[in-house]
Amino acid sequence: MQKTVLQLLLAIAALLAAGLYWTPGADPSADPAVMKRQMALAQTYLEETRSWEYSDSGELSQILEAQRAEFFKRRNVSELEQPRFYSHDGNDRSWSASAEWGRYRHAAGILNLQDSVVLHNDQTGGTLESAAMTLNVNNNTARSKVPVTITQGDSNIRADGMVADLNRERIVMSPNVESIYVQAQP
Amino acid sequence: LPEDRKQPIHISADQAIRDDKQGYTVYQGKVQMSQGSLKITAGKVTVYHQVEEADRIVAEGSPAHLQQRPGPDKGLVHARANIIEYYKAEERVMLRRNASLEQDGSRVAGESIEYFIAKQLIKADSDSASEAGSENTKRVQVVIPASTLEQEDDSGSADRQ
Repeated sequence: MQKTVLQLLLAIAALLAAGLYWTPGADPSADPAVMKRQMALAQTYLEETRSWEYSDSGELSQILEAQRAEFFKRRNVSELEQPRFYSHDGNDRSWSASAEWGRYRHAAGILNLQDSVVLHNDQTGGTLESAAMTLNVNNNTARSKVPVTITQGDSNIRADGMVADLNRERIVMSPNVESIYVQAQP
Repeated sequence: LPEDRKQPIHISADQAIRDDKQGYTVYQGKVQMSQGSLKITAGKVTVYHQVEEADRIVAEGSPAHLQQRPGPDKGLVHARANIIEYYKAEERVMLRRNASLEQDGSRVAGESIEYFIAKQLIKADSDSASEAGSENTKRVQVVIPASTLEQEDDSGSADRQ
């Protein structure tokens, strides 16, 4: 009797040990290495992509373009090459932003732009240039914590940062503001 | 100097608020503005810009200070007021509230002073708001140092000979 109980216990122990190392049909993502590889891989690749967004009343409100977009499902983020973003505020006033690189966080509606960032006010023709900018496409605001330069004709204003409300076309620049107004010669 | 108004305007400040819809830019915090020999220091300067060219500039301070050399051989003009309005195209400066303007020891003070840069003309006004004759009426005060009077007498008698 004792022998059979011993054999039964041994069999159970063997089964448990096997279960530790071999889990058929289990979710591979449970394995950290696989998970890490999956996180690094885009789920979707898009070339020369453009997306339109319309307001509740059916007016075009935003366009997001990119030379190339890689969507990462897990992080709900798109990495963009040559992104361009157009925004219309519904009162015939529009502005656009472009850069070398961008990262769009879909859930938050945040577009981080990097390298050769240009923000253009289509009404006044003024442009704001910087190395980095964060755009909140839900409330049409922008922020830079690095030097920015606004150019309007031959005049310009430079500062070490800015916060912009693009619907109100109002930009607060600080600190260290320097500006030059060139007088049009008669 | 006569060519001041063709020079670019340089402004430095702690902060600038640019409002494209309203068409102005407000500079705040240790604001220094210069255009050739004309210099303004103030707490706040507002530049009204139609498209690109800045045509009206308002400086506010306690007081705001404007300095300029009207001509190569002329002494510096120092103007102070709580509000200084500079009309670039007209080369006209409007000083409001606690206004004073000095040059080579001569001084004019009043509630408001209008200074025509090109013509070197000054028009000063007292505080019209308060009642005439009341104690706190700020009347126009002019101080011309004796030396300036003597120079004018000498040049006047030289003309008569």
